[in-house]
Amino acid sequence: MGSKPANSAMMRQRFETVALPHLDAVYTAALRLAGNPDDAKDLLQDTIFRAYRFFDQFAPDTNCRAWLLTILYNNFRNARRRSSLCPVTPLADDSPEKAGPPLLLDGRSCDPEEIVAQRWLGRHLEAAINALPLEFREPLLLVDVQELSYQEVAQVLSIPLGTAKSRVSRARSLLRAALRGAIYQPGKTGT
Amino acid sequence: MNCDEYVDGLLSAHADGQLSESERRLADEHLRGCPQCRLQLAEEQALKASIRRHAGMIKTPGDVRLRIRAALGEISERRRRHVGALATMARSLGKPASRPPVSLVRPRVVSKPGNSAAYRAGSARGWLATQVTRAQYLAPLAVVVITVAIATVLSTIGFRSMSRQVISQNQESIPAFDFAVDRFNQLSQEFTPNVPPEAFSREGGAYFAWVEDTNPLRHVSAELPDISVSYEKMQMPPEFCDFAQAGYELTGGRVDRLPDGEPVTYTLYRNGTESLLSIGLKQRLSAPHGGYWFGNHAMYSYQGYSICLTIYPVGHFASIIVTHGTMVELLSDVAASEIGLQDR
Repeated sequence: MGSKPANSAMMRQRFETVALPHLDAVYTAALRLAGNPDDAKDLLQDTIFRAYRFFDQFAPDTNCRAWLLTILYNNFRNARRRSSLCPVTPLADDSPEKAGPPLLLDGRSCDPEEIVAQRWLGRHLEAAINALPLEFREPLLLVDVQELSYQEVAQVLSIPLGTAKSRVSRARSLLRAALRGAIYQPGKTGT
Repeated sequence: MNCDEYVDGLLSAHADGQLSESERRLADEHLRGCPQCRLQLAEEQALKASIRRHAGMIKTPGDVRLRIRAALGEISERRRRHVGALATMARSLGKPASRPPVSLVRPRVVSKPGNSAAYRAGSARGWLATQVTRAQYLAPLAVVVITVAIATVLSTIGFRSMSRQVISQNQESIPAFDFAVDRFNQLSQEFTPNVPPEAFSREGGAYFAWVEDTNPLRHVSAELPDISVSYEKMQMPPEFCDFAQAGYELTGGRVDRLPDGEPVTYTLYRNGTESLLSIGLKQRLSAPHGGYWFGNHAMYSYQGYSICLTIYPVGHFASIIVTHGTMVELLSDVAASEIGLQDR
């Protein structure tokens, strides 16, 4: 357990330094879970305030992002149990808050063919991820987007370590199959 | 190790860099002699990179980021203030200042009424009930102290003439306040709780209610032990101001829906001469200009009514308290009820 800061100013400063850098990570996961920005914002705020309230329980040498995501998933499960957060729905492709240039490979490529390929891949990959069953999509995104270890994924999702590991592997297999299917589907190649 | 064993057992973890030392040795040994699996590993790593690129981080909207930072600042400041205030109050009232400071995210307590001892032992509200009972004779003193303090502060900052003659009458129409005043006028004349008053008891100084099994609560009423939980089930603020500290009796609670389908809660209190209606809304309201801030409450004199607007940063809730009393009276009533909330 972390040592409790001597006063609330120190607590806030420490929280801002340690936890707030992960705000985008928590919002990204909240948006995936809630399926719409309004509920995602509520979920994010509830998670952050709850984390702040119990920040003295955060172990300093552990991954704060994983700790925040654990709170987020617990909040989401509780809210869904209580009633009416919508079930997970695919995120709209045209989310205005999406970060980063989706068309270029880290800004390195100006090759038109590569841009077209990236655009094609992005569109089909997003669709393929959204089509994954939730039990596979969640661990995959926690590993590939949130960069959590399998152990942390198991903690966030409250599942055994072996299950987390096999679900990530299975999710990638399903994605590969879906992308191959898209490539060979007549009339679906190109832009 | 053959190809199937590598692909099924180690490939993903290898791409994720999460093999153990012994697994890594086995994997490296296999890959040295297997171009096919080396290609598969490269594909897996490319897929992983593509997922990160195309399903990557989404920036938190700026307004949410600002709201969170502001709220954290407020919590921090309130904690600092409340620690001092509770210590002072404890000294003056002879109570130990052992309670934690109030948090902006208040605990939601769901309890079973059937097991009273366990319920009290495990719940903040049970603690409150004990404290209220213990401090019953001290409450009027606390109210007087707070009222005097507020009056002193207000007079210091130039609001000496706060009375029924309104200091800052808002002339412009404010839809939320018009709605609140309209509901106050209707419900203070005729109030039909769908959380019936006969179901309330004052056990240990706290209110409890078993929601009657009729619409609109039929689907949520079966396991609801008290009124604030019934409000929470509608995803409304579960805080239940105890205006008993200010000399009011709880008349009852009511849950309805607005024309747009959003839930609204009404809690009515009476003290013999005055009524006080607390309205809970799940809406994004911002405080109109012309209010006087008291903690996170904005106080208004509006069309001959006194209004206390409280905006909760979590969940976009707003609470509007309306009364015919003066702003000073409302302020002291709210301050008195806050004692209960702070203790929860």
